[in-house]
Formats: sequence, structure tokens, C-alpha cells
Amino acid sequence: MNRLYVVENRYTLTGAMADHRLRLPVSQIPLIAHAIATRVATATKDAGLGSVLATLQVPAGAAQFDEQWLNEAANDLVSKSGASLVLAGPQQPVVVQLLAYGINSALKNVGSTVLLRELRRNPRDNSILQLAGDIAADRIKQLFILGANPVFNAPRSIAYDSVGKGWLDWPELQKKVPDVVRLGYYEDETSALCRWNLPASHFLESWGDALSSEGHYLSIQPMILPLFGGFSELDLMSAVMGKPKVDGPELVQETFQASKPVGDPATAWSKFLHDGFASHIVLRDRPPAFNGNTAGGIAHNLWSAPPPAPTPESPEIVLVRDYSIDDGRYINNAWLQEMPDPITKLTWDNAALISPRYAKTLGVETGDLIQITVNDVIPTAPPPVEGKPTPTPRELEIAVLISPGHADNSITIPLGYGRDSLTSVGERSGFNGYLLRTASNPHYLVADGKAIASITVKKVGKKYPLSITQDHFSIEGRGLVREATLEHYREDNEFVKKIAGDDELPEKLPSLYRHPPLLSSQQWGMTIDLNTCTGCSACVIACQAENNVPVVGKLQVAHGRAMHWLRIDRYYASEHGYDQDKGELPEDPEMVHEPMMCQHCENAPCETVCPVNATIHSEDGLNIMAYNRCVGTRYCANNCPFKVRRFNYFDYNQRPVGKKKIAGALNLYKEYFAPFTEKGAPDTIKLSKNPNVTVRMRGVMEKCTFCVQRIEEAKIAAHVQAGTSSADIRIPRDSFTTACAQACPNEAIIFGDIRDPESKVSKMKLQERNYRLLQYLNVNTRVSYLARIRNPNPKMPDARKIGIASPNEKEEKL
Amino acid sequence: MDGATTVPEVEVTEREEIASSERPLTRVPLVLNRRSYGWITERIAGAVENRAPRWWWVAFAVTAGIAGFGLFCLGYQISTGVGTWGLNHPVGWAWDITNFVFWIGIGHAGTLISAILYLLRQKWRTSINRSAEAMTLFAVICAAIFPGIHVGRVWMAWYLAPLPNNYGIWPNFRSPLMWDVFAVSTYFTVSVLFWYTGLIPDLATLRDRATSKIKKFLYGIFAVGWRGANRHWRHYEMAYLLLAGISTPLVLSVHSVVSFDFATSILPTWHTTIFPPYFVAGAIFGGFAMVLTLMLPARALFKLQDIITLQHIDKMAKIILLTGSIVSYAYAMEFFMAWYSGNQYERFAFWNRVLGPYWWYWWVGMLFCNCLSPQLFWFRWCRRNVLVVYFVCMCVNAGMWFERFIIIVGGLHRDFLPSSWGLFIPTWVDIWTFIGTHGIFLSLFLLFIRFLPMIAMSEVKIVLPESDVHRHDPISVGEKEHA
Repeated sequence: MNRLYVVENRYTLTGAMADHRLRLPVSQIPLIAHAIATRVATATKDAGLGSVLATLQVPAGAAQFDEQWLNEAANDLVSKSGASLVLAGPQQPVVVQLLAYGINSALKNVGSTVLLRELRRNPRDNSILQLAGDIAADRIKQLFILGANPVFNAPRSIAYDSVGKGWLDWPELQKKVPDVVRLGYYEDETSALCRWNLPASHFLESWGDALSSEGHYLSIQPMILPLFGGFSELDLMSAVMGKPKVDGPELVQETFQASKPVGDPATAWSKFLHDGFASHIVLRDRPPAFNGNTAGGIAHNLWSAPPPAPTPESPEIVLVRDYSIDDGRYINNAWLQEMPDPITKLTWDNAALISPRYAKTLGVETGDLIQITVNDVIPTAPPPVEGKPTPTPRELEIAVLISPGHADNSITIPLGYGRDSLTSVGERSGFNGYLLRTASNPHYLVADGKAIASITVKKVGKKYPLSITQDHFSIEGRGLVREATLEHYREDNEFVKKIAGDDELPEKLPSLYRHPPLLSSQQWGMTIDLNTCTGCSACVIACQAENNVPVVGKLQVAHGRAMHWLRIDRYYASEHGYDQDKGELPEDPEMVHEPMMCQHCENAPCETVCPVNATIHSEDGLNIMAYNRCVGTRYCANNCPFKVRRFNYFDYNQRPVGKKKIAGALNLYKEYFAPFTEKGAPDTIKLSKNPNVTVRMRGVMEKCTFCVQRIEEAKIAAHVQAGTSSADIRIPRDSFTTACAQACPNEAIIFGDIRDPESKVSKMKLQERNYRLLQYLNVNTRVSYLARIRNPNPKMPDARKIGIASPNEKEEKL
Repeated sequence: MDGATTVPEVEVTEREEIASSERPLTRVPLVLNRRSYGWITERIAGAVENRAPRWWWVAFAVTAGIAGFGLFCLGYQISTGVGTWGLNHPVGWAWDITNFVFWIGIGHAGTLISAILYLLRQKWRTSINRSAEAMTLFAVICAAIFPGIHVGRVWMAWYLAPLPNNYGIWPNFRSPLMWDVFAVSTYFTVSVLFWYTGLIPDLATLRDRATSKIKKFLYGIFAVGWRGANRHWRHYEMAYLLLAGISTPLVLSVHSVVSFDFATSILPTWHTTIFPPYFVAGAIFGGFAMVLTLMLPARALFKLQDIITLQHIDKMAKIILLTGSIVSYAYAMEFFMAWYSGNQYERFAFWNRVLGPYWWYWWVGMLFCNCLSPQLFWFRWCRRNVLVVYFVCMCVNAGMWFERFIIIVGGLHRDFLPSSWGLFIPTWVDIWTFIGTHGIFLSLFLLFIRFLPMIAMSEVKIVLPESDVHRHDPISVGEKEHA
């Protein structure tokens, strides 16, 4: 089993999967990279890495790290020479990338775990800085903007205007260009300052091609004719070159044929479309080579001694892409807006993530607004001017979200939010982190005395409502997520069964009710492997798309009415218990994820309490909902121990639900005026619905169905193929799956026939790690979980804090 | 022995009445001051026949206004969605079902007084049974609103009725909500019949005394030809006895069934076998408190102190003390069982009740209002001090509402999976729907005391000494037996 060490300032999904995680301000990461490199260099006596390190000076007062942590981590790396890998995050400076490469090279990983591949890049690519300089110097007469939104996300103070003698932001620059043509999906900040706006066709409606990050040449095929017309980037570029507009794949075919496919062109094209990539283009890896002297020279030039560790008075600001809306491009996607952030479970907004301790220092709680002010050092370049203009301080008012596991004195701000000009889904959501961002500090800001003079954070004294779907962090010793260290698992394969309550259960519990027999030849079940689930939340969106799960809007999420059929529970497991009611939060906990959906209990507590028989059991073991029978007593949801049932408190599909206020400053939301507001949904929303799934109305309960429509589809297909409607016809083994299982990149979710011993799900259920939740209730769930195994290094100082989500054996016997 | 010497001819003051009752083994008269049949008829029928006092109009305007706004809230909620309330996931029931159980509980005192006390020959019931029964009906009406409107699709609520249909779908008879439908509708039907049967002789009195033709006609219709004949009385009393017999099990069954809504579920703090007796005791507890809440002002306003005497108040206070103590015992037993079960979910849920986000509901509502405040009734002075009694009754009214809230929301808001824990915060619609039902309840009660005799005249007359054919003075009877 592998072992993952992560050093990061905030909890990421990678950090949540780590076996050892060190939280550290981003600005200190070069130092720790240096420290690890030094240890690896000493151990391996690698000349290349040594010569790089020789050029780098660590300042005397630099922050100290846990020596034992570093030594043992480095020893572990060295002992796995050739089978280890050091990765530096893409936002790390070049020196850190060089050090990572140097370490990999010293460990003989290059060629085994690291492959070097040269990717084709357009040699005429230019930086936006150069463009900005050209615009400032009035050298640009016409500008085409393809898709990008620079008015929103270009760095601040991007160019110096020697005429007006001041630093310019992109909007002023763009106004200086006489003719701006913008191709984009939406009306947004950039389109407002363009003379020409062209509607872009979506990539699912147009032909195109692309290079993957690995260098593969890919085809892009339309799934649908363009809904609103529009141009693709290819269309526009071809028009600029004076060619007539084509509707078909001709342009892509031209490029493809230019790559000299083998054989008949038509067959090769078909194969290209079928495979999705051009298999005849061979990717050549470069032989490993690390020139320590060259690297050392580069590193020496770029190495600026890292600033001292941030302090409460002078914290660092880290700007990151958002898990759901990326850099802001998906802000108008309501599914993504409502997807709980995998770490913080925040929806519809971003927030400044800080550690509990730092929050205490600032005297703030989740939802309090803080004011961040960044003062630049007065710049000397470009060309000296009389009376150097003082750049205006960059300011941002943003709500705080306390995030356990965050590094102290560090503030993480996901980008892409805070867009006042939008009038759709993204309207009035979050805070614009780009306001703090400059070209010289694109990823993190820290008062280093070179570019940034000071960073101050102060409490504003106002609150901002944040809609968070999970308020409680502790698992309360309940054995819901079971985990063990690899060592513990090897000693005791049956550890999942030794959970308080579960270990005392008899083999078969009696039931008060007689249940209809589960007669069908195929019985559906599911396993979720917590060891491979990263909490990425792809399944959440897949389920929402597949099952027409409505979006409810920020206010309704705040009221606890999010409709997701599949949610991902996130718990913080800490060595020491903490009581959130008393305001206690863990500083450096372990994070565990647990996807939670209807468990399809065989003795379902929801079924016995429904007064109208709207939720019943099918013969193939599904707990099914008859929406048009449901009157909405909500008794089933109350009696569901997993709280996975979702009630339509409003007519989410018929009436616009959202943040729109209809009476000015008053907090009046449209859903509260249902009888007087327009009914119906826009056609685009209707088109997004899955025609095989009922769209539910207000007042009915809904929940995960195990994608019953897919089961039925497969069943019908099997019957058609067999030419009979006999009940004996079985769907071929593992021939289809649920939307969540299909979307899961790690195959953590396995769905299938549990009566078939050869099915994937049956085999998963035979694993020792398999367990079911709340078995003492005798609910007999069809979903089971596979316990998580962590692999801590026993020599590490934090090893005792790893793999502790299961209840402590001493505590459990209370 | 001449009883006349022991009872002075002059009007007895309350002080003297206490003095006489302190004498050992004497029976205190149920109607003080040797009031005659005529006086009783005048006083009780007079309240209906005289012009409505100004306070009545003011009170009715206020309560009807509140009821109107409550009905508006109901309409708003039905037209717009259950989302107008503060419910969420995980709290699917909150004020709606709390109010339902609260009102149903109040509806228990009426039937207890009319049926069980009747069968037990508790003659003191006669001066309070009529209004207690009326209160029962109005409380059940208020209660029935909530299960009706709390569902997501009110217009489909008839699915709960076992109607034959072409789909062959029946209600789920395993569901306690289904049992509720039958229990509450049976209870309401029987209560209406019982109340109406008892009203017939009094309606005839009102008919006979009516001065306008319309009144005479209407009271006449409902008096169904009562002439006070011997045969009438014989049938009447038999019917009354039978209805009392039918009602008696209902007193126990209705709230037991209501408690099954919780007891048959699997949630910690809901899944408890103690619930049926606990709920029935609580219902009688809350019901008597509400009877006193209504009767004490009515007694003062209509000058009925001779009919609803301190003795009556004292007896009801004793019942409150008894049932309050049963309830307190049940509370304590719940904690013991949670500990004794060793089940961590149960243990947590009860700690959470005392220390969790709703801690003050428990400390104020359950501990102070329900457990501690009735303990005042161990003292005779407290049982006979109208202000103390009123204070305790208001505490109990509030406390019983809090108790139901704690059971319902306390059980739901933090159950098995900590990821789903939440809180319930009521909206203005929640609050005004509940206040609105108070408006409905009080409006109906005000209409009742305006148009129907609030005390069963015929029954009170039966407990007068004159009704005893041997004309024994009640006190002398007691002394004779003692002798």
C-alpha cells in the first residue's frame, strides 16, 4: 500500500487522502522543499541536487519545522528510491519545481515514476502582461477575446501608463483599444466593455479538437445542434482568416488529415471520432536528464529568500481555484453553485478560510466579515517617473469560514466569485478574490517587503449569511466511518465488526413485521469503498443531472433544504474529542468523507410509517417512491436514520427559486410568493431534465432510487434482446450502473446484483472491510461501506493521529 | 338532628365556607349558599339571554381577529408550500405536530370529566363538565387543523381515507398516522355526541325561556322536543351512561395512539415504550390546566362562584398535582432508561435534551413548568388561591407545549448521523398559525358561552339538596353517617 505525505496550507482533497499531512503557510513551502531536498541530497549524495542546493541560501531567522517529521519523511522517501514521487503544486514557484525535480532525479524516480514529455506549445504564445504593455503604449488597434474574461480576472495594476502616470487595471486598458471583439457564452464584465459580442457555441454543440495534458490529440464532437446559433472558436478564427463559415467538421478534418493518419482517410477519421483521440500520433518521452549546474543557476537567480513565517498581524493570502466553479467560469452553473464544497460544505459563495486558532486571534466566527488590505511597496519600475504614484491599496471585504486543518496565519480565498455584473445564477454570490491579485503575486500574497509592504486584516463587525450544508464536524464516536491503520488491519482483519453495539448483535435479528419476499432473480445493492473515495463530489452532480434533482437556491440551502439525493458527509476526526456546542474546534484533525444516499434498507423504517403506502419495497430489493401517491407527511424522512430523504418544501421545478428579491431592499424571495409569481421554467432548464425521470412537484418526498430508470432500461433491453417478457430474463452481469458509480473516477461506488456471486458488488461485499451502517437498528441496508485503511509511517511524530475515525476501543465500552 | 342549625341562613362568606369544610367528615355542599333551582336557571341561562357585556365584544373582536389572521396563514401555507414554515432536513415536523399533540392533549380533560368522573359518581363534575366538554371539542378542532395542513399536498390528503379505488391502493394500516386518523376522528365524533346529548335538557330550558321567535325555533330544533317527561329522562340517562362508557376507553386510547406516532418510530427519545401512559397523563395534566385557565375568568365574569366553588378548583388542582407527578416520574424514567440501555444514541439524545441547543426549553418548560410548579398544590392554601392556581395552570399550559416540542424537535434535530444535525427556527407563519389556533379556540369558546349554557343546569340541579327526595341537608347527612 502506498503512503502519501502532503504539505499544504489548507485542507484539499489530496490532503484529506494523505497518510501524513503537515499544514504550513504557502509562503513557507519553499523552505520545507529545501529542507527535504537537503536531507535527500545528504542521504543519496546526489551531485545534481547538491549543486542546486549549494546555490540556495536559507536565511538565518527562517521558520523551523518539526525535525523528526522532516527526517522520517525524507528517510521514507529515500528508502523507496525509484518507487517514490515528489510533486510540487502548480502554483509553486519555479525553484520549488526545480527542487522537486531534483529530488525525483536524486531518488532515481525520473524514468520510473516521472515521465518527461515535451508538449507542443504555440511558439507565439504571449503573456497577458506583454499585451497589457502593448495596449498601454497604444500599439493594439483591434483585440479578439475568445472566451476569456479579463475584465474580471486579469491581474490588478497590470500595466503602467506613462502618459497618465498611473497603474492601470485591465478595464481601463480594454477601453483604450478602439475595436474589441469578444466571443463568449454570457454577458459579463468583459462583454460590457466590448464593441462586438459574438455568442459562443458550447463545446457540446460544435466541432473542435484539442490536446490533452498528456499530449494526445483529441476530437471534440457536437452532441446537439447549436441551440442558439453561435460561433465556435474555430469558426471565428477561420472567419478572421477570411474563410467562409462551415457547419460541419471540415476544419477539424483538415487538421486531422495534416497529421498524416495511416490508411484510408475516411476510415482513419471514423476511428479518430470513435476512439476520441488520434492513436497514430506517437508520444515520445524524453530520456531523463537533470543538469544540476544549469538548474542551480536558474534556481539561484530565482530564489528569493522566503519571507519570515506569517504572523497574526501580517498573514498571508492564498488565492486558489474553487472546487466547484474553478476560476469563476462556471459561476452561472446552478448545479455547481449548489454543490457543497468538498472540504467546507459551503454552497453559493466563497469565503476566507482560516484556522480556528487564527479566528480566535481575530475574534471572528464563521460568517463574520473581515477587511483585507494589501499595501504595495511603491514601485520603482517601469521607467523612473517624476513623483512616483502611490498605488492604491487593494482591499477586499470577505466573510470568514473557519476551516479546521488550515494553517495558522494564512487566509485562503477561492477565486471566481463576487461578480456584481451578472444577472443570472451567479448574481450576488461570494467575494472577488481577484481584487487582491497582481501579476507578480498570482498565487499568494505575503508581506515580503519587495512587492507587498503590508497585509492587514481587521474585523468589520458585520455578518454575512453563508449557506453550509453540514454544521457538525465530529463523528461523535459512532462508528459511521470505520478506519484503521494498515498495521491495525493486518493484526485484526475483522476490525470493522468490532464497533460498540455492532459486535454484540446476533446473526439474525427478528422483525416485528412480515415483509413481502424479495423474489426477483436479481437483487440490487451497492458498496462504497471509503479507501478510494476522495470526496470529489462528481457523484453528487452526476446524481443531480441524472435524477432531475432541483436546485433550491442559497436561502433554501441555508434553511437546510438542499435536495441532493446523494451527499458526501465530511467529518473531522481528532485525537482529542471536541464539543462544538462549546465552540471547540480541532486545529489539526484528520478528514474523512462518506458518501451518503438512500441505503435501501430491507427493513426500511420509512416504509412502515408512510400512511398512504407511497414508499414501498420492490421485489428486487429497492426502496421505491410513488411520487404521485405521496401526500408529504414527512414521517418517512423523520424516521429515516440516515436522513437521506428530501422533501420539496416549495415548487422548485415550477417556480423560479433563487436569490432574486422582488421588492428592492426587502428580503423577499420569489418562492415565498408562489401564487403570485409566474409558473414554469425556461426551455433550457426543461432541456436539462432527464426524460426518463419524473420531475417532482412541491409537497412530495424524494430520494435516491438506485437509478431505477437505468435498471428498468436495462431490463427492457434484456427482454427485447431475449424476445420474451419472462421474469427469468436477467440483465447481463455488471452491464450497467448508477449515475454516481458511473461518474466516480476511482470506482469507489460499485453497484450491481448482490444475488449473483460473481458480480463486482458481491465480490466487494465479501471483503473483510465491508460493513453496514447502524446495523443495530436491524434495518439491513443494501448499501455497505468498505472501511478506510491509512498507512502512516510509525516513526512519524504524528502517526498516532492517523486512522482514528473509528470509535476508540476503550471509549466504546462506556 | 336538625341540619338547619349548622347552616346559617345568611350568605356564607368564603372564609366561613372554609371553616365549615374543615369540620371533620362533613360533606361540603357542591352549590354554596343554598341556591335554588330558580337562581341557577336565572344565573346560567341569563348569561345567554342578557345582552352581551362589553368585555365579551372586545374579547371576541380580538380573538376573531387573531383567528382570522391564523386562517390567512393557513391559506398562505397551503397555497405556497410547507416551506413557509421553518421546517428543514432533518426537522420534518416541528410546531405543526407539536401544536397537534398540544391541542389533542388539552382535549382530554373534557372527556375525562364527563365520562370517567361520571362513571365514578364524582358529582362535583357537574359544574364544570359542560364547558370542559366544549373546550375538548374546540381543542380537537384546533388539533385536527395541523395533521390536515402539515402535509405537502393538502389536496391529496384524502389518500389517508380507506376509500375503495380502481388502483386497489389502500392506506398503510401499519402507519401510526393512519391510526391517528381513526383515533382522532372517533374521539371527535363521540365527544360531539356526548356533549350534545348532555345539552338537550338545557336547550329545552333555553327554548322555553326564549323571548324571540327565532331563538325559540332554533333552540327548539336542537332540543329535539324535550319536555322533561319521565320517559325522556330515562332514555336520556341511559344514553348518557352508554356514551360515558364508550368515551372512557377513548380517553386512554386517543393519546396512546398519538404517542405511537413517536413510540413506533426508531429515533432515539421517540422509540420508547413508556410513551402511552406518559402521554395520557400529560394530556390530562394539560387538559385540566386549560379547563382552569378558561373557567377561572368565566367564573369571575359571570359571578358563578357559588356553582364553581373553591372545592372544585381544589379538586382539579389535586388532579393536576397527581398527573404532573406521573409526568415527572416519566421524565425521570426516560433518563434512567437512556442510561440503563447503554445505547450511545439514546444517552446522547438525553444529554442533548438537557445541554444541547434547546437546553432552556427543557429547564424552563419541562423541569420548571411541568415538574416543579404543580408541586405547589401539595399546599391547601395554594390549591384554594385563585391567583396561584392560575399561575400554575399557565405554567402547565406552556410547559406541556414545550414538552411536545422537546420530544419532537429534540428527537429529530440530532439523530443518528451527526452530518445531518440541524436546528429548527420558526418563521412568522409558524408562530402566527399557532397563535391563530388560540384565536379559533377562544373565539369558539366565547361563542359557546354566549349561545349555550356554559354550565349544565339540569345536572347541577340534580346535586342540589332539593333534588334528594328525602330532603336531607347534605351536611346533616354527613353528620348522621358519622354518628
